[in-house]
Amino acid sequence: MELDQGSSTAMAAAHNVHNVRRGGHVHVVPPKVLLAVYGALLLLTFITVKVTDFELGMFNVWVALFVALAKASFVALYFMHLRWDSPFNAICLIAALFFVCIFIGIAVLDSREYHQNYTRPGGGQILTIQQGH
Amino acid sequence: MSTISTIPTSADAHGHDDSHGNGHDPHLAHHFDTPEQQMASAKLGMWVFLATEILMFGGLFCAYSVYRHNHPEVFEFAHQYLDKTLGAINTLVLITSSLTMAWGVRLAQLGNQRSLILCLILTIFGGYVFLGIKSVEYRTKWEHKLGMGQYNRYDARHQASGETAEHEGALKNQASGGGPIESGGAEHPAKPGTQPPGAPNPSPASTKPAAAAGVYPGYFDPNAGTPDAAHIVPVAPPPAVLAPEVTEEHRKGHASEEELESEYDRLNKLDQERTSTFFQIYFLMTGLHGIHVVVGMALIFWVLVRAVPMTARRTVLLSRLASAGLFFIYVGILVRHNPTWIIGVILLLLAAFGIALRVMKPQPALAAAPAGAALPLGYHGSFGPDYFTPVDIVGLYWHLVDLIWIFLFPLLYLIH
Repeated sequence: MELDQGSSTAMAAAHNVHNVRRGGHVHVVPPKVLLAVYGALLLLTFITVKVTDFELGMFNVWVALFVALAKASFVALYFMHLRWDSPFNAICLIAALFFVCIFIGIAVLDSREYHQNYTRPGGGQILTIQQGH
Repeated sequence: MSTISTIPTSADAHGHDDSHGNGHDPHLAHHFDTPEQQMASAKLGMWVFLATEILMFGGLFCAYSVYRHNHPEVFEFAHQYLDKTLGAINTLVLITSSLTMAWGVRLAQLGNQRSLILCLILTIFGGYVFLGIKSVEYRTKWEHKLGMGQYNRYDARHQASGETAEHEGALKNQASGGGPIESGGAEHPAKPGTQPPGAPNPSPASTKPAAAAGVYPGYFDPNAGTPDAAHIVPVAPPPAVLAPEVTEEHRKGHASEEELESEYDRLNKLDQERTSTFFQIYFLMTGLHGIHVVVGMALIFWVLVRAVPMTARRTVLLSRLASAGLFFIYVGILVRHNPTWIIGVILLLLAAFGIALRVMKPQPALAAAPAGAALPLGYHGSFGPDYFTPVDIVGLYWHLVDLIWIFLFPLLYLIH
């Protein structure tokens, strides 16, 4: 770090850069936004707990997932600063989620392929090694 | 990166945390053009790492999805062993600690290091509370013999070792006096005759329940009769116990502990094995998440030490280590004896806030620092508007921990 201490031009350049940085390139999240996001997260947590009291059939899990996704979006956009960041960072996150979705989606599709071996309800899927073969 | 930098002898270099600006930026590595570029690179690197973390958890979520897709009734039954209230409290704890972390990043950007220290301590404290509640939950599972693999009562290996009777004895013992679980086995030795009807027979023959059942009706082996005939064939489903009756009973709400105990005997072998698998998924997912919480707390601890003025660093380091030690002692106590966990929480509370007050006190050494003296970089604490990358990056990690829990909580605790 001490290498450019003697160089006045380097110091001048760094000085300029420094001023630019001070000039507001750093985005500071306002307290109001943080508190609003916190309130939204609390509200959504309350909703996702309360919604389990209602019988919605298959929709229960989708409601839970949707609420979780909304909460995750709030955290990522505001707490994790993605809203004001370089889009590259958001691309990283979205790509990871995309590939996880492909992974899970195809795995679940494939598990249907063995449906004849799996019965529901009541379980009943057994694979057993028959003795004597 | 060097830790020593000479502050030039100018008037405005005195007394401000963020006044490194008269020379070059001491935090700028020479292979970066600008601090913005350096910061953006650090953040991009962190996001790539977070993407790999998401992919790692994706594997576990995949196991969860496939298993739940195939056996939704098992999830509906087994999730009743999880405490919804504790899970919800833990969600609130993590969200709150996420807020204090985000606030800490904000304070670091503004150069308010005293409040930053408080925020970081609160965040670490949130981690402690989360892990404390988690260990209460794990302890309950352990008491009910709902561990991993052979330590799970629904696992065939567990039942084959004849621990069912011991478990019943331990439960009775607990109901009467809440004594330690170890004594249950000694007072109620396993006797085959004392097993309740319907409990699994520990003889080896019964561990192959499918042997007596016929082949699954829809199955056709094209190679039957040849040397290539399948050795592994699907067999006809055993009588369903879990699915229609048991789940219907619990649709209205959570079953009591006694009801869950009696369900245990009514489940058939196969459903018991599946319930065991549910708990493997539960422990793997929450356990890996818990490890991330511990790592996140250690990273925040590192940031905290750097945010503290030089003169107070040793104090903070030692006291935080002491509080971590207290925490592990308290978890140790918790695993052995039930109600003492509240004492542990109070101890931690005192430790955390005692240290916070200690750090908040103005440091006389700082006020005495003469103008123009050569001070080490970060003498007043390392972070300010020029340099807050570690706070930001560690904050991202902590938010990811929160993010994963946001998905784990409804998927494990709130199954309907």
